[in-house]
Amino acid sequence: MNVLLVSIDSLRRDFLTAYRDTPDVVDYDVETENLDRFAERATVFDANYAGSLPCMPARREWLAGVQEFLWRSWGPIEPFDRTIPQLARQEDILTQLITDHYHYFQHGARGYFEDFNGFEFVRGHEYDAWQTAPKNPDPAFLDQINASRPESQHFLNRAAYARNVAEFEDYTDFFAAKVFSKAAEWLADNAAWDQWFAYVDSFDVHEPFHCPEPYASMYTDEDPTDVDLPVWPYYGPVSEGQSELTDRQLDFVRSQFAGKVTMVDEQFGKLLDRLDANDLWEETMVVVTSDHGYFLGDHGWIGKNDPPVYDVLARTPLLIWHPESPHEGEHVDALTSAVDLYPTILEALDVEVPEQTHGRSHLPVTLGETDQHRDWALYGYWGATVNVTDGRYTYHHPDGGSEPPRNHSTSMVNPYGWFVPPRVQEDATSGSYLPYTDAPVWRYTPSNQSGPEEHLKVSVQHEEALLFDTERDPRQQSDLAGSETDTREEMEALLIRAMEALEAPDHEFDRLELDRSA
Amino acid sequence: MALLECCLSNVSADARTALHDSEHRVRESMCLDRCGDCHTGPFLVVDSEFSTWKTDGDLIAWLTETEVSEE
Repeated sequence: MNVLLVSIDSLRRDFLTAYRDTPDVVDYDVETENLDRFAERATVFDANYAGSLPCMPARREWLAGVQEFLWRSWGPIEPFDRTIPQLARQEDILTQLITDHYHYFQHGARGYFEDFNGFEFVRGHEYDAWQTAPKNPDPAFLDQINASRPESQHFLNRAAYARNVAEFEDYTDFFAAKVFSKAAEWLADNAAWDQWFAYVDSFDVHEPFHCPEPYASMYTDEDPTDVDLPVWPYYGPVSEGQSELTDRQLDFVRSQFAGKVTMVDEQFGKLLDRLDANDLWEETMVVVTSDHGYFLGDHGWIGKNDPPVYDVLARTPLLIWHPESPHEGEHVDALTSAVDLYPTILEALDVEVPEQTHGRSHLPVTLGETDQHRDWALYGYWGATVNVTDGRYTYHHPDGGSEPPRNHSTSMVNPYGWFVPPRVQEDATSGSYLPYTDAPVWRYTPSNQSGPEEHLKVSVQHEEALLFDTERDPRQQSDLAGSETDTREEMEALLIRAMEALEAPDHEFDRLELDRSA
Repeated sequence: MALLECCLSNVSADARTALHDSEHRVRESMCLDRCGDCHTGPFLVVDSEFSTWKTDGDLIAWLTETEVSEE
């Protein structure tokens, strides 16, 4: 069996017809003809949750089976990780990565692409350090992407994007078109190999929400080049600060997100056409998913990271085609977690799953052998709230403030400020701190400009525990933590059991001010 | 009263304490997407405007002076 894994970054599931006719935040339908076409043959998972957030932590879950956020922030593949391409190659399975996801090639992450037999990297998305000319990009476009100091040589200048796309002319120059075209070509060119694992990692629909035509005008009557309309808003509350958006601006951002979804969908269709043309369906498992969603004014936020981890971010699309599945176009409500993709893919490839990894294969769900999978799914960002769901309730337990979070890695990576050169972590100690490996790692609290810091409570995301019933309240508008105390206690107990099952470190229990079960 | 937005990877413990002791509204963020400038030195986003200081002490002094001038 071959495996084709397709991840579409930041893809909100409510923008897919497979999950909902009209997205939550707009009053128009968004065209996703090809994802719909795929959903008609796939098993559609209704309760799939992210694990470690955001982008690269999700990829370590998928590719290495480690639910890292209880131990580590954004970082590299570790020497003790056994990635899918490493394991597949040992069994003489060809592996390939096709992506425009530049985080693979940036400070903070390494080791993700090196294990593949081949990789294609489509250059230029977001902050990709690619083009350095023109020195003076179109000033109107600089305004639209909030690039206020194009002359600055500091890391991650938004003007880099303006330079990267300065010579783009039509949609075929854009990222999704290139990624999916290259993926389709790869499928055609590699038909002679006996078995393969291909990972198509599309950075779109991630911001900047810079759409070529016809997609830019598909869901708005505005002039998409109007300098008052941003295509790359700052993350944060839409009501104030650098992330403030007027209603008109927010509507425009939503329309450009929708345009990108349709653009990616059309390009994804090329892959389906190639699977048809090369008659690959009967020998290929195809997985389509996303790492997380994106707030488009939901709960008053734009972007991600600082808001509570509501389902708009954490409940992600998952659609799986397997030729032996009885669920053709059927929805299943088994609770699944991002980290489960790792053993699921290995099992489909007939490769042994290493011990001491965190996922559980849900291939039996796809194959119709069971309709149950998990009792809980844990998710969140390192050092922040820890979230748990039983598939109906979501419980969000904030940092208590008494203990600092601790980062664990064989590298001194920045737990915050991932994308700039790493700082020396002056208070680091080393030891075999991880329950899933004997390997020694560094352990440290985050250093800052001036070195190790006195611990102060980190209060981003939220201060008090939150509880939602996603069955009665799918948009999570009514916090039940204060009123349904029995359920809150049950969910807190579930959180503790889940953390214990993963052998979460004592200091995480202390940080969250949680007592272990008796 | 201003809205001060700061990044956890940027502000020191002393600066965070000074921020919270100030009369201003403070929003702490995991990342304000100012990574290059954040890497270079102390900064805040003050009422949507990006502002930098040479040293942490300068930032804390600015906070103190702002308090004084408002009094």
